[in-house]
Amino acid sequence: MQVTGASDRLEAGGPMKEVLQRADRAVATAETAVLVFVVATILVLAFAQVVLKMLGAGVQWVEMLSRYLVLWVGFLGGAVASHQGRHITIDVVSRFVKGPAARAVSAVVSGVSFALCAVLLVISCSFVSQKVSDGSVAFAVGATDIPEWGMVLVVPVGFGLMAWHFAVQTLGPVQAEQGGGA
Amino acid sequence: MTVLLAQGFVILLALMGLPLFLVLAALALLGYLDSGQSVALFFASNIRPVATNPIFLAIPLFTLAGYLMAESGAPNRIVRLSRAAVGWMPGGLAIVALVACAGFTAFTGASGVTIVALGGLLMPALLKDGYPDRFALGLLTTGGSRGLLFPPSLPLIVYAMIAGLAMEGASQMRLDAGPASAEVASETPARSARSDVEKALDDELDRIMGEREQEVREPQGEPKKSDEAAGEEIDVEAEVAAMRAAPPAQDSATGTPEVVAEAPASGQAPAQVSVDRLFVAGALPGAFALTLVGLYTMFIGVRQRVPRSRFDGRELARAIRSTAWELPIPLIIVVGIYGGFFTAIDAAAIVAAYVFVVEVLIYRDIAFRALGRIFRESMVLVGGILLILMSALALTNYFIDREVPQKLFALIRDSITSPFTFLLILNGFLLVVGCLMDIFSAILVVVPIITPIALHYGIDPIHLGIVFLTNLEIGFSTPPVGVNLFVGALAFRRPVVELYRATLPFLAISLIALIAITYWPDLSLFLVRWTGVR
Repeated sequence: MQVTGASDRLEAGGPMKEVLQRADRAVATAETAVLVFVVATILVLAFAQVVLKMLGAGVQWVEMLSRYLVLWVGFLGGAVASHQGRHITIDVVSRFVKGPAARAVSAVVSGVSFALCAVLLVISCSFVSQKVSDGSVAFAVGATDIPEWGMVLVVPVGFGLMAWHFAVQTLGPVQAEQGGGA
Repeated sequence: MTVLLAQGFVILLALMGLPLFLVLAALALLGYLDSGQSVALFFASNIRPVATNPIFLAIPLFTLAGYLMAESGAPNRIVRLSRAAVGWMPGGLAIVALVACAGFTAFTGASGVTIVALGGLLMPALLKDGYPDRFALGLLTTGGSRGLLFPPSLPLIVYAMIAGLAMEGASQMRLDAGPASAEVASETPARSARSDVEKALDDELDRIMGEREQEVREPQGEPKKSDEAAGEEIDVEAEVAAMRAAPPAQDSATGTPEVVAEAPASGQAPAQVSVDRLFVAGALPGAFALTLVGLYTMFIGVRQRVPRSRFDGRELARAIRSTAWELPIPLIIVVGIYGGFFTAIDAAAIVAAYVFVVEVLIYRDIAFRALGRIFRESMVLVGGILLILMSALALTNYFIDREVPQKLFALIRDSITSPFTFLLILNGFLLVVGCLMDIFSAILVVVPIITPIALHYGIDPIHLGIVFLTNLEIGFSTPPVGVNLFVGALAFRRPVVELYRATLPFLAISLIALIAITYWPDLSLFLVRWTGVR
């Protein structure tokens, strides 16, 4: 397992590439903002539920919502990890390969990652559309049923975002901004 | 053939640095294609578990708590307290480092922040006290995983979840959808509109999740049903069957826990793997391994004539007062879970909220401005782990569908007959796995295959879990790809090769502990039986 920051090598590139990379950072900033909000929500909901349960008044939807939000953390966190190049990898080759060869390897890996995320995006879209058509309910808040597709929508969105980040990275390593965040 | 080639290609890409979750996802998708299943099954097998299984909730909560503590002044306070409490012992500061590392790793869910949080603090101090450079390096590098067996370590949680699924797959086949699953299926009114595949998965999961899930779904459900809550049904039935079979006199002599423990050996449904049970089981083996390293540390300390601090009651009192707000955290976990007051997931919520209040509002170690960054940093790790978990669930589903464990068992059944031989070979195998894979992928890929086979040999799944995690704890620091080595190399600014050498004596001691843990099942199982945690 290796957890590293995205390489900060600077490369010459056309204006198009720069625009794309700037867009990439903007997307990541938005992802981070939503991610932080979702985590804060989980923290509050999970603790509230424990207190409510101790008082013998556990609320079903609070618990269900906090569990579904874990899915959101997974995909949004995964998207930010894709942007920062911080996914968990086995990565033996890069310890022995340096220079242009290393850049070629990382471009290939980014390309394949993009392709796989695109495939998973398509499959997850059909998964969500099935949820829409069968009308399954995730949980009910009072008398209002929250449809399950609304909760799992983050799956295709997440794969879409990851596909985007990997696509931009095929152009070369993105300089991840540090310290930013929401 | 084409699929096999493609899978080989995926492995090659994995070595080139393809994110692990995509490696596992690609392998699963290729597997589905190969066996003529719809690739749509990929999400049917993993979204639902993550979205509904409470275990997953513990991962972001414990990780967040760990990151908040690492960023606060807690490392300083913990070192100060450890020094005041055990600095007088032979071995002095090294014992302090050992205890602080184990405690901190357990707190932070073994997410790898220990070395960064404590290493920089302790390394210069150890050198100043006259410890050999190599010894200090090895101690702190391996210290990053020392608390792996203590709650609330993340690998412990992940193991419980994956082994539960794997056992479910195994028992499903053996029981051939017996009365237990029929009953569960009949009490799912809100879920009638789903496909058969998903429904079967739901039922499976409900059983694993046990009563917690049931309570929430049906707050006013009939008491009878929540009594025989889904997760324990197999357990209870096996127990009843065993008690019926056993003569009454022996029954009263051995008691219920014994009967449960004997169930796997007699080919009955095995004891349940739950986070709570693993949390309890890990305590003694973890303490045992810690003691062995402690003795070695004392030996080095005495040999080097390192200074010891005199025991000072007043300094200890001051140190306790300075950590007064953090000290209750292990108590929350220990009393809550070991005493059966609440579950590991409740503990995660309480600890996360508590740590947030303490570090941000009471100690004010963390500025509000920094919160966004800390939340993001911790969730990038969590996101990575959750995505791997989901891909691995899909792959597990494929393995179980293709009956890979059964085939493997058939292959080795004739040559390996005793459980002891099996465990010996398993240890060798896992050490190799630990060297090549990181801990999460190892759990996710290997556990589903190993668990059903181990059950055939009558090995208690809880004991298996402790053996498994001890192996991986060693693997954490084993060349060439133990994660501790790389984190250590970064934290101490040393070449990795130097760390390889430094960790060797510690790995040797860990191996001795591993052998004891492997061949002394009661070390792992005693507390589980004694406390009767489910």
